[in-house]
Amino acid sequence: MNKAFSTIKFYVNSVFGFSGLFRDLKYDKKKAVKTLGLIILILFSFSGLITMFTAFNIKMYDLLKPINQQGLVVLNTVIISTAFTFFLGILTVIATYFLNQEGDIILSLPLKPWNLFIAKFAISYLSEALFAFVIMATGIIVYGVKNGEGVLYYINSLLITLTIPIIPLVIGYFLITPTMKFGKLLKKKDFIMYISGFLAIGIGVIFQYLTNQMANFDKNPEFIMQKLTAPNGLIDSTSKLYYPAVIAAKAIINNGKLESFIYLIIFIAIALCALILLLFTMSNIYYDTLIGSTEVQKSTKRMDEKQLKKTTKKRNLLITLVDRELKLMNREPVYFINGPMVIFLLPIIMGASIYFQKNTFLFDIKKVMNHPDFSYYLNLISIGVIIFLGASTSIAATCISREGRAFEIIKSLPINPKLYITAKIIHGLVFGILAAAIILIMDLALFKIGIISLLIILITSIILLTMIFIIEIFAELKWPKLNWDNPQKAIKQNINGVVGILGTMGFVAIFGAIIVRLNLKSNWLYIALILIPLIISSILYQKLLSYVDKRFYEIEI
Amino acid sequence: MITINNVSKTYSRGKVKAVNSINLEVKKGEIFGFLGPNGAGKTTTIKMITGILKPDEGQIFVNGINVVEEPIKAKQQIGFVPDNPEIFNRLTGIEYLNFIADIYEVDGNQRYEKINELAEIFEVKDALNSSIGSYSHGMKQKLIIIGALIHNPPVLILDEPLVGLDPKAAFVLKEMMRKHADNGNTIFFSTHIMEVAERLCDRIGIIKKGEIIFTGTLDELRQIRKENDSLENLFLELVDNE
Ligand SMILES: Nc1ncnc2c1ncn2[C@@H]1O[C@H](COP(=O)(O)OP(=O)(O)OP(=O)(O)O)[C@@H](O)[C@H]1O
Ligand SMILES: [Mg+2]
Repeated sequence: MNKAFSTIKFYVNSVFGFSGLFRDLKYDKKKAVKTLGLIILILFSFSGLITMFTAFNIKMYDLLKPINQQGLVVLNTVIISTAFTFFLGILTVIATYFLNQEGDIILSLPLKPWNLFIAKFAISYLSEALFAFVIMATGIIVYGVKNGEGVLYYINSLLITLTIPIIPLVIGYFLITPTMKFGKLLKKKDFIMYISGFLAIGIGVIFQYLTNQMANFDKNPEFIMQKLTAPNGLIDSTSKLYYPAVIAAKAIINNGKLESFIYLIIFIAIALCALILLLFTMSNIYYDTLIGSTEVQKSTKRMDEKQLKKTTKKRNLLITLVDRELKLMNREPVYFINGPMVIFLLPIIMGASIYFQKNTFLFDIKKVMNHPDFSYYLNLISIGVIIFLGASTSIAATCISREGRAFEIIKSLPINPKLYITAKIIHGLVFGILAAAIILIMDLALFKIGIISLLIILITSIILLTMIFIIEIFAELKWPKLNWDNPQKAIKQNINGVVGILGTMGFVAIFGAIIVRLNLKSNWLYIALILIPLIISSILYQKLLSYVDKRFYEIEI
Repeated sequence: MITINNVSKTYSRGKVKAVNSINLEVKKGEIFGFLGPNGAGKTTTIKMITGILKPDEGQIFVNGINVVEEPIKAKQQIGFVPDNPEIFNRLTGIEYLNFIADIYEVDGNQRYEKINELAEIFEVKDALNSSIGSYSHGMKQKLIIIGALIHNPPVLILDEPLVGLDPKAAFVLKEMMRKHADNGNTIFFSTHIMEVAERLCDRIGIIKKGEIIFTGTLDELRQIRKENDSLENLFLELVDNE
């Protein structure tokens, strides 16, 4: 038992770095502030979701109160957070299934399989618990405040909330572990990462669907509520499918009564039994899959003399550097999924959201297309979307951190830092242009935009992107995060990357707001949008070149 | 030729000086062995010569070129084998070698001949098409050695190059180092294997706690210690002293 606890502690620490944070709080205040800032930023990005759920729950409560059915708010929240922790849980289970830290050393320690398994479970549990907490809070607080509940209610709800993710995660592991074991193909780490990337698309689409449902709620609340709450409605049938949700809801709603306490105990007991059952049946299988997980695809093609001769050609230095950037990013699944794939993923999600409301959408489109300023605004929106997509790849915003310890190799080679950094800008722009191509094709297909508009969108967005990339690279050079053991840390837990995406979002939003507010409607705007960033970019580029020439040699790991 | 003048280095996170005003001179055509206990400062010194770390004070010249002032020119002189071969796991062996060769501006013919010859000797030719991530430790080491030799560098610097090599590859590497030095190039390498240092090096330097405590030939060391002992015993006595 002790061993299990130490393993959990070790895993949690090495993945979330809590103890590092506490150490920093004591000794390295600046670093601690950075880490906390990152956490707040991430929470901030949830804020849209939180507002949406809260608004929905308030409306739902008000509608149900007259028929004394307001308890359904709680049940609905329990179902939603269960569903979320299930779908996201599967992603987490896959993403954390193989961790870099657990190389051969962990496997060689005298630990029982279930020790390792529960430690891994703890990691996915923690992130899901946070998620369940956020979603549950929106319903629990609305219900609690409106119904005038006391402290006991909140304690009760907290216990339930912390228990909610267990069962969905157990189911997730029951699904994934055997898949890993029996699917020979799936034993490949990389392949699994790609699968999880595609799952992410699926979840994005589902999420989009839910959002649209909630948005429609405004227009026709009674109808939607009917659909949700009627016998055999959505809530009713879901709770038949997953009865523990009803138990959890009853434990919260009937609080103060003995009944509620019993339901609470039952709910926790079911969750624990599920967990124990999982550990009992799956630990050995899990352990088996861990062994040999580092296997990589090996080419069986022998290189013959002629082929060798053909591949060993001298190339332009800049091309070599760009090629290296592309290969290293596209072949590392963690980088690819969180980087370039976003360009393909976002349009798919947008397409799905259009599809789900195609009736209203087509109608709206026809209406706006007749508007005299339609093409003007379409151009601006397209520019905004391209910039957002281009920056979402995090290519420039994480360009130094991604090198990791291999940056030492780079430093030992006679590489011109100016060329090196230019290659990184080009790498970003390659995908910026790809994003532009995708959006422009959509514009052409849906709205039949003209060649002038096409050129304006392309040129403006690429110049603005260049400016953003240069700023992001400045930040990376100044604060690179090179000392990591898991590539996730270079891209997902990198403050430069997060600020890069959110900052660009803010930049686009502020600009959009200004243009709408001031009612700017002039072709001069395009000229300004091209010329000003062009001038800024060229000045910044010169500054970047002289900065990198000095800074490159100062960065030490 | 490598010249190190009064070089010191303290890591930003460390408190002690990892290297404390050291002076060294490695001549052309010579194999110089750099010895010292764990944590003595060997890797730190090597990283400063190769431009990975910047000295806090002092200067380093490679073939007369100041490493800090003209880094690109200085590095063009160097071939480097780091102590840890964990690099670019996502590239294939041949992609890595082509990248290195492009950086050193090696033309197509020379790189083909070098790769062909060295990959054959080190028996990694079959693996060139596979990703480096699938290589064993020794195979990675071999690949990096090939990369370090691809431009026929006037100065070859190796940090514990024999770790992980099989006996045959270790033998080949030692032969190669000898031949490379005999062709008028400079070789600087660190090692913990005393027999290798004893047989291979023209001169040795011993570093302890960041300070050089001896440089010279093995015979000179014997004279100072007034003993005709093996390098191993001399080294142990010297390092254990005080
Ligand atoms: N990245 C680092 N940050 C802080 N201190 C370091 C770092 N790398 C090395 N040191 C310290 O610098 C000193 C010299 O280390 P160095 O790696 O140069 O030793 P070494 O002689 O190569 O040892 P070994 O034989 O084990 O390879 C040691 O005290 C070590 O703790
Ligand atoms: Mg060392």
